[in-house]
Amino acid sequence: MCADCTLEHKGVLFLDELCEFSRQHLEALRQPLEEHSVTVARARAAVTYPADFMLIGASNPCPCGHLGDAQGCTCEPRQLSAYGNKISGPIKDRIDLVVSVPRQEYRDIFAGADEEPSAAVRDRVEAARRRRGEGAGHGNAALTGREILAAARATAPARRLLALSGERLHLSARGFFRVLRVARTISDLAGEDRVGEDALAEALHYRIEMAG
Amino acid sequence: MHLDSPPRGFWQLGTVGATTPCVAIVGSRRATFAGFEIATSIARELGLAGIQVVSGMALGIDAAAHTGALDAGGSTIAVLGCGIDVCYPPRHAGLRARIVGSGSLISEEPAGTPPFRYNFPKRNRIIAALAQAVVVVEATERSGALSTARWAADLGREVLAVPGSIRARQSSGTNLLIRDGVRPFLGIADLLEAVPELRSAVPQGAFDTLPGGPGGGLERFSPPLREILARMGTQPVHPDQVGFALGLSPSLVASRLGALELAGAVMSLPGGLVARTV
Ligand SMILES: [Zn+2]
Repeated sequence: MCADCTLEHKGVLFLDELCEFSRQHLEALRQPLEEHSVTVARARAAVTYPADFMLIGASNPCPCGHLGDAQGCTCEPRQLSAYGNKISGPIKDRIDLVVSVPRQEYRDIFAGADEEPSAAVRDRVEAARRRRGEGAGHGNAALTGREILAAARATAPARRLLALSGERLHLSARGFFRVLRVARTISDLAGEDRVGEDALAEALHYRIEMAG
Repeated sequence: MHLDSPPRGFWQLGTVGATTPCVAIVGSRRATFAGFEIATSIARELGLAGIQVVSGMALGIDAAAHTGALDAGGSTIAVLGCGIDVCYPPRHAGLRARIVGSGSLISEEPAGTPPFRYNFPKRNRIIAALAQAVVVVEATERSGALSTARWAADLGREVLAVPGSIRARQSSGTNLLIRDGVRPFLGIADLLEAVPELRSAVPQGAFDTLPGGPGGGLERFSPPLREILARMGTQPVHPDQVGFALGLSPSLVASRLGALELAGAVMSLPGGLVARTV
């Protein structure tokens, strides 16, 4: 896993069936996700390698794979909670976006003609990056807490919502700044100067799904 | 207690003992979201009215019953199938502490007794004996909640069952109870009619001020949020279904759901579905 992290430096690390990895392997992601480096300790020396990557994981909703779909889940409550606990709190806290993808029906596979093409999405992303004068840099993810507070330029309603969410969702300080970075990115993509209520609520929704 | 084989003694741990009248709410460990929500809201209404809720601290409906009563500031009794000092299921350590703080745990098993399977039917007879009425929220044909209902009927207690679809496995047991003559529970009024003591035991009008079912009290939300709630109905849905039905982008749906989740009007369920809680 450590080797994968550093090989993917400046790239994307994709882990399929995230919940099937051992807890120990997943915990090894904590350092690179926070410090953008991995330290490999050997008998006589410790070497630190750069490891700045975007983690993407895919997982079934439950061991049988049918939680929330029409067929119905057949897992025992015990199995469900064990599955949900596979990813520890500290790792969940470092995941910004959780999106559930419903089972695709056969008829949908042939029906997706009105989707936005990837090229158009790419244009939007590049425009957002240009707007923030970042070139191909780290983007909003690299901003420190103080920097993101300034960059967000959150509106008064958005600030109220943020205060409320800290209280209701028991956000950690890390979680708080992470929500703000995601909201900043949503606003950048929409071409908005200031982080408003809608962008913030959207960022919160992507985080809440993880807790559920 | 009016049991033919009364327990030789009780172990009790808590701050508030069993009071009269009280109501048992029981059901399956594997509850559906709707069942969980129904059990919570019945218990909440009873808790608000000062009526104690009795259940078995198991996963699913039992946990919802205790939680609803506690959330409303009420008192609740958990009858255990293990020793008073054993936390079963272990996941309910937090719930157990809350119950001890505003109600009590009761067990007839000696301290240290593990949760043996054969203790649970015995435990069910105590639940039935303590309560003036038993409401079964969801149960399959093999659920232990049906044994509680049988004990209650034998003791002359009122039994009510929440009806469900004839195709819903989680309601097969409750539907059978209703077919066999048990009173269906469609709302708190059915319980009050079955057990008039409940009405006289609580302050006049305690049940009148309770918020109504889905649809009531939504004025506090802005029209865009109300539109989402109206579309969600009573069953859990995927956010994409809501967006598709209303012609809204996934990002707009996510933003409105985020606001509703924060307001406590919507909750996210494992598996990515969302459900209304108001
Ligand atoms: Zn499952």
